[in-house]
Amino acid sequence: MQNVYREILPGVRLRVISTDKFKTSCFSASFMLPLTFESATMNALIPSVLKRGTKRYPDMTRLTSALDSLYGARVEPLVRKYGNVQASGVVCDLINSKCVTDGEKMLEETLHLALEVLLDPVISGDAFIKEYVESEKENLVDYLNGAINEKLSYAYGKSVEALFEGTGFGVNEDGDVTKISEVTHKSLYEHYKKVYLHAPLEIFFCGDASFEEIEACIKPALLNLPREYDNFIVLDKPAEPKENEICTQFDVLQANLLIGLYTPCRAGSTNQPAVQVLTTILGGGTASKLFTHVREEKSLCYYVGAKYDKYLQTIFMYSGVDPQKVEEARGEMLKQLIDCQEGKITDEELQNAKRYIIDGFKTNGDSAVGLEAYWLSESVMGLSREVDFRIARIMAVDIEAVVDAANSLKNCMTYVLTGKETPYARKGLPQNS
Amino acid sequence: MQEKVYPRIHEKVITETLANGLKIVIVPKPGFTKAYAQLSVHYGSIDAAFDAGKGIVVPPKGVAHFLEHKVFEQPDGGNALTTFAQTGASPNAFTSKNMTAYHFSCTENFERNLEILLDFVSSPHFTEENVSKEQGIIGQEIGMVNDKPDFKVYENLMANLFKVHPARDSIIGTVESIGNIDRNVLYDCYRTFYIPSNMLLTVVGDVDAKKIIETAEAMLDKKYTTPPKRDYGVEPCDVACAEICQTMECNLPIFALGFKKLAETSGDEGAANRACASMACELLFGEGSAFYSELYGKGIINQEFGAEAIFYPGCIAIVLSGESRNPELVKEAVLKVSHNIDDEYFERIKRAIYGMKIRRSDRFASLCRSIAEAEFANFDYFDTFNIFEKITKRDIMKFVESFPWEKSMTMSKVLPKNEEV
Repeated sequence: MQNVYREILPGVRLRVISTDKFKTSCFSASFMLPLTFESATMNALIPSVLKRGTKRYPDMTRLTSALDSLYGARVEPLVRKYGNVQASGVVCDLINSKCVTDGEKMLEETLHLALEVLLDPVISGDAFIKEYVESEKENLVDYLNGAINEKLSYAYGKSVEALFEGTGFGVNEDGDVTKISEVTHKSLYEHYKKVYLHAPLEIFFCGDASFEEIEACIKPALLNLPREYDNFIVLDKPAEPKENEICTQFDVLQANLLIGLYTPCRAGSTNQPAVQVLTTILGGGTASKLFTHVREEKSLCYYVGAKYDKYLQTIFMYSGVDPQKVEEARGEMLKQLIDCQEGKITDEELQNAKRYIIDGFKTNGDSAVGLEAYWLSESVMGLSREVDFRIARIMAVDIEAVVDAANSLKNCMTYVLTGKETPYARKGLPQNS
Repeated sequence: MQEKVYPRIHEKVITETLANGLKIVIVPKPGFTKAYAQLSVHYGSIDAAFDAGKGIVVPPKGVAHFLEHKVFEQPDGGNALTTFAQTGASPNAFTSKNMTAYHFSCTENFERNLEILLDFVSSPHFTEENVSKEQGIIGQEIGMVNDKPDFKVYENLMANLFKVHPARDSIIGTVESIGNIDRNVLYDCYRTFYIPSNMLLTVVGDVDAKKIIETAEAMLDKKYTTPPKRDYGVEPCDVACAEICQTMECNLPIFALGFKKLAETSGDEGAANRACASMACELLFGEGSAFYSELYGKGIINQEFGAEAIFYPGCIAIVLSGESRNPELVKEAVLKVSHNIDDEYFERIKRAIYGMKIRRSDRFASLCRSIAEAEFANFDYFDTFNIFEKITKRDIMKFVESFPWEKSMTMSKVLPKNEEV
């Protein structure tokens, strides 16, 4: 598996992982932008509008037909958040030419089409097509308002917003409903032109082709980019949040409880592996303390776990619990953390956690999409470390480092999403709905 | 041990059926670090009434799913999940309408992990205490899924699309039904369904096929037992109720529009019917269809829209679901959709479906599930590439024209709290 990463044009970086292992290749192209409340909504809207049509295929029917002819390749809008960085672009998966009899030009045609979607949209005068923009605005409003359909992710989004309020770290990568109405087909196209002109572009390919082949294939489509580009963005450090306690009430049968823990450890720093191991000991998988003690022993919840957002420098412990047992579950979850702080971690727990993380790293290498996510994340952190390096760092973590990581945490959020007239709701905590 | 090569899709498949009836399907994937194994039991929520030689038995609803939770617990008081943690594997399980499956993926110690999988599924340990504890956990799971509008809209659809067929019942059961499950019920159902002749072992990865077969042979019961007969009842052509609506905490109205046809879904005929239904669904309602682009363009549906064909013994269901400010307009459009398919469009969608199926072969979990679905319906998953290839436009037209769209239609809606039912 060959991995080459280079700036191929001013402000355009290309990474190619050459392998014939997969039947499916992955291609992505993302503009890398600072995540701000002012611009996030437009940056999130752009890829969906771009997917409505290109100059050559000016509507969805024609564009989808072209993709269906390429054995159902798909070009999808993709908007991601890395701390205070927003990646806005498209991702494409396509089958390898070897799986079809008429595939000589398939790779080239598909990559051209993906870049055409990103860089050569259908326009009307000096604006996007009004109908497309209005329709995608409505879709985005629905998508953002639809967050309440998934209660845990809703609670997570609200927690992040509250913890990092007023900074890019607290901004939703999909934008904000209140900003959508002010967007017009003209203003969005103006914004797109600025992005096109200034934003660094990260391009990724993983599949059965060399760096040189991919570079030769995509370069013609990029030559028209008027590059007055900004520097490549590198992730910032989020400020330590103040303590929050929020309760949201809905008509629900199950309560969702989220506990946020801020770590001073920066993404990519030398002590980050210890935080990662700690998170896994706490709530990664079925051997974790939260799963074993809170779910299996106490039967307090159906799901419970912990996740670590290294860019936000925050661990979130989460669970779905009976509304009558929120306090009990909270106590039990915090007890698992205290046990870690007091060094009550067995060697077996440490080894299990390491194996769990390492298995995840290795599994990632078996998927073109997994590799895309891994390497874009490295780029955002300004790093370029192979998985083996990361594995060695995880292996080197000892219990002392995990205990130190646990003691450096600051409990910064208790978020309870619960039913009306349930014990937690009656406590009169700050409401957020 | 039989080896079959599928040159077009660059796959080799190794199969073996042991004397105890266990079928093993291995898909070698040279160069991959990850290996994935799934032990599937042909026991899903629809197997709610059965005869294992002592007359028809109808246990409380939700037993298949309950067993899925309990089988991990071991006679020594341990839990298989903990054992897997020691070898670095990622285990999990699921219960669908058609099967219960236990699986793991790992990057090391594959053979040891396979032993753990086969061992824990073969050694149940149900006590009054651990059954009671699980009632609490599953009760929470029921609460969680019942708070999900997309789950409710689908459950309501199935309960009304079918009158008799057990596909109408929730996989997970209800708080009341799981309250009636005790250790005896679990042991009875376990002994009836968890027999090698009613299971399938599927492995995908860079693995040693011979060793896998030897391990399965050594670890599982040697005796062949005849699988139980299942009773799905006699489903009529019409539906239980044409429309069902409830309100929940959600933003937009959510809909699921279902249609059903009584048809063979097993064996060669079933495989052909399944292929026709899936392709018809893509041709009429897929992203490349006039239906999709018109409704998306008018803002009637959004990116959440999906259309799929679902298969149960004796039934094909076509389900269209998504969000819409006006689900009635979706219904109207479905009933008016043109069944004329031009040649070029037909060939294009055929290529697109081939591409989708190829993409699935890189996703081990999805591949294993498709193989198990096919095996339990008595056809070979890898033959479906050829079946799709042979489908003609005429076959599709015949399927679409004979499908009882209007007569079998059920609409399920979940409306936001502030909207009237």
